[in-house]
Amino acid sequence: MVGTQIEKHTGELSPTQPAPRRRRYAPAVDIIEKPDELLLIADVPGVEADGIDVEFDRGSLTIDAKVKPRYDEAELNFLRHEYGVGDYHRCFEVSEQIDAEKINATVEGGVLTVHLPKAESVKPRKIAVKNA
Amino acid sequence: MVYHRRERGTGEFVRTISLPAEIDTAKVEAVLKDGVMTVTLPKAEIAKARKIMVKSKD
Repeated sequence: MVGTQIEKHTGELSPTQPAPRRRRYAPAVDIIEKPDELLLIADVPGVEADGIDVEFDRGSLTIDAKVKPRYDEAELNFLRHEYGVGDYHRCFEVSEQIDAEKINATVEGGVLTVHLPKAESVKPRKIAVKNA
Repeated sequence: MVYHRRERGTGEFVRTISLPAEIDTAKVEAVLKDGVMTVTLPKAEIAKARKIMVKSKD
């Protein structure tokens, strides 16, 4: 009888649903094509600039972002635990010719923006027409 | 402008949560960093567990 009561009590204290484990997430992205560049925007909440690695190699764009743990999950008693904390990773093949030297990336408020300027040879160009 | 991918949602966030304890509302703090908001809600004195000193009756 006593044993049953203890079990019941412990059951009330444990979280009602299993806590998400730390893992790697694929961030949601927008990829927008403008006349002179491709623009990639990714949601990476919790990431600081020094935790992000953006690499472009032979048409392959890789995003790696490290997220610091927010707390020691084992020590806390969660009333709700809906949000999984983990690193971000995603890879894209870019068919457009990109000027790799001029790629630049910024992060603000957990949103990563990567500018991928098109190579000069593929940019639309207006040709000045001279009088003969 | 052409979207090759459009996965991100854009909008506002709204959420209402019932709390299991009385809160000292004057001491509530919220911090927003890197897109993560942390709200600290100190429990009101009345809701805190308390140890009662037991006096001996002489």
